[in-house]
Amino acid sequence: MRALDQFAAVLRKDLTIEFRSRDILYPMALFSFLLVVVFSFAFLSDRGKARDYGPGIVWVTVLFSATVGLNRLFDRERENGCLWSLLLAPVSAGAVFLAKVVGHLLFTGLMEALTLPLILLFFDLAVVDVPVFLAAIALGTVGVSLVGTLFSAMLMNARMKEVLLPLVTYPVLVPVVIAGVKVTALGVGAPLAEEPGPWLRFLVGFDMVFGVVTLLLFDRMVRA
Amino acid sequence: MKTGRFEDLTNAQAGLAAAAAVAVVAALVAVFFVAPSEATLGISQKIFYFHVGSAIHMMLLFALCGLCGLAYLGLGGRPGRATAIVDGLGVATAEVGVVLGAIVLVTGPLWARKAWGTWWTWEPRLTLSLMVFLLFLAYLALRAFAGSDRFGRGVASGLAVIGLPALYFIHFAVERWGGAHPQVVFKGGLQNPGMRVAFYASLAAMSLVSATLVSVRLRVEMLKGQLDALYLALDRRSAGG
Amino acid sequence: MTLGPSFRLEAEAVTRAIGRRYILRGVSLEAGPGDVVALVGPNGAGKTTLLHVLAGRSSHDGGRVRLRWEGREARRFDFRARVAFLPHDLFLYPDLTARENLVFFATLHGVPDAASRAARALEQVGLARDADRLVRTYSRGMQQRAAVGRLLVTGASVWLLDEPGTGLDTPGRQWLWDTLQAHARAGGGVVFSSHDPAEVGRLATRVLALCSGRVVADLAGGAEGTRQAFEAIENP
Repeated sequence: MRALDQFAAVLRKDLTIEFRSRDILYPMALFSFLLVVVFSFAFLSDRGKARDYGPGIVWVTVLFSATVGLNRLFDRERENGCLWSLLLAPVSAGAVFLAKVVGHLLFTGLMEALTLPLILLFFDLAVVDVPVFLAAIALGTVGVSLVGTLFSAMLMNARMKEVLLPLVTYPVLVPVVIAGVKVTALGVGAPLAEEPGPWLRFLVGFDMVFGVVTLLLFDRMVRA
Repeated sequence: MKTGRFEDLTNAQAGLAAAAAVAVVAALVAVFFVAPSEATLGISQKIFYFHVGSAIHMMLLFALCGLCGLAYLGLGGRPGRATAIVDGLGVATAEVGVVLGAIVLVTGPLWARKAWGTWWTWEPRLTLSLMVFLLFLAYLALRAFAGSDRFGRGVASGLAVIGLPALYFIHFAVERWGGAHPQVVFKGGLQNPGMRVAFYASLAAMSLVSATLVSVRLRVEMLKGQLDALYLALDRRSAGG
Repeated sequence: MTLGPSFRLEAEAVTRAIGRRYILRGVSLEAGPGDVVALVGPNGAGKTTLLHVLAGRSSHDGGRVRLRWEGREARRFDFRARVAFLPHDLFLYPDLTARENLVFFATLHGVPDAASRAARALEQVGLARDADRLVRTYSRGMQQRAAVGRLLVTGASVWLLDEPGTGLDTPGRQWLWDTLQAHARAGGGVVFSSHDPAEVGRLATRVLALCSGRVVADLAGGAEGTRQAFEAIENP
């Protein structure tokens, strides 16, 4: 499996660099921590309603912090023109793309492991349905990483990429946020007359469709 | 080469523009003199004729823009007439789409204030219109700032393509999320024949106006391409090649 | 003359326009086994753009670039496996060591036993002792050596190099020339750009002089051809 070796090589390379420089993980973690602190002051007034706005805070934090990571994800490929060293090697672009997606997922997952418990703590939220809560976070993050990585790669050299990236990705990610907030709310025991099942299936569908679409588009767009 | 206003348009486009002008006048007559005033909403109900027409055409233009993006990427951005047309049509549909989107997003709240007593509700179709508007804006921002070279065009095309499945998911999510929109047209409303005439007249007028604007904008893009080609030819000749 | 596979990198009447100006105006060149083609010309003549087009990093508007491999036209994937590019921006990860860089690129190219291949290449480029330092901490000359090491581990037959002598000291240049000649003698092909008559005269079997995107002289290598080529670009 040539493509699998290449996928593993690119991922290992990114993790090695990240382990040395930590220039994705640290900014993400710090930014998400600050967001949570700011949110907890912004919503100081009404502690009792945390189950209403808590899921929203979870998803705004995940989306914004993931964007911080996305803005930096391809920085290391920009220096010395390295992205082209990958594209000019006999490598399937899909393997490069998936390695980048998985890398971003790992970084975002670590950030979430630090930040989400903090949100639960600061807002005095209890997760009543752990599997549903975790499934919402995991499935939503996959969607964010897929769409975000595609455009992060494309905007690597663009002027104003810090503005363009959210402008381009957030409309596409609206369904993830809607579904994520719904399922997370159910996970923390908000009194909604809904089942998590359909929303989780919706997220799985989103991830599958956009997994295929972004994979197909990446090669086309990057070489267009 | 003549430089008059109408010589700039091809004959077909001039015809299209004339037809659009006639259709707009006819639609206004139909809306204000043929269709009766609605019983509860009064004259503000007339917004509906323009609102729905704009929304439908915005969606159609977005679909067209997505198909152009697909074709552009399918052609691999290779220089040539097909790429130039597909690329120009992408810009044209996006720019006209933004204008229609602005109409939708202004008339929608006006209607909502009168009909439901609130300026904005997160009801499915209004939300979807907002999202299409945002995607169009992002498309144009990419065209403007991500470089006008092939790379910038590639990204914008990719966004237009990815926007199609995204809209499906947005629609689905917002629909489940809940909301209410008048199901006037497709669920057997619009019983009054006068209203129906006004509705279809304004729809036709909107079609012609959109087609005129898109074709003129496309022509501008094609002329820009021709101008670049002429400069290149000049460059080749002055260098003695 | 050579024992390796037969191949020919061909560019036919390549044009490339950026905006309203031509950068390349119908450039043709060929490179086969044992060929060392030098591109000379003033800054802005199109040397770098030509190398980018040959490597597939830039697109071209007219003409064609292809690689004939054992008589057949190589497909895109094969092309990228056989043609390796060393641009001005080096293509090395600054936050990896030279060894890690070379092992990484060897793996990408599907080279069996990437680690020992990388170790051998590091010997060849004279970086064995500094192999485990981050590339970021290297001098420009050492980075250039490591970048040539990347060409070695890929196992590509055609090397494209954009001003490879940049940043190298005198022994470094000598080493570079030996390495390029060794590659050509082993049946590889080399296309490189240069401003240095000594380098071109020493290495090139063919000299292409470019001015404003056009070939103004296409000469056999050696002292005489090099002299004429550099004359041609001074008085176009």
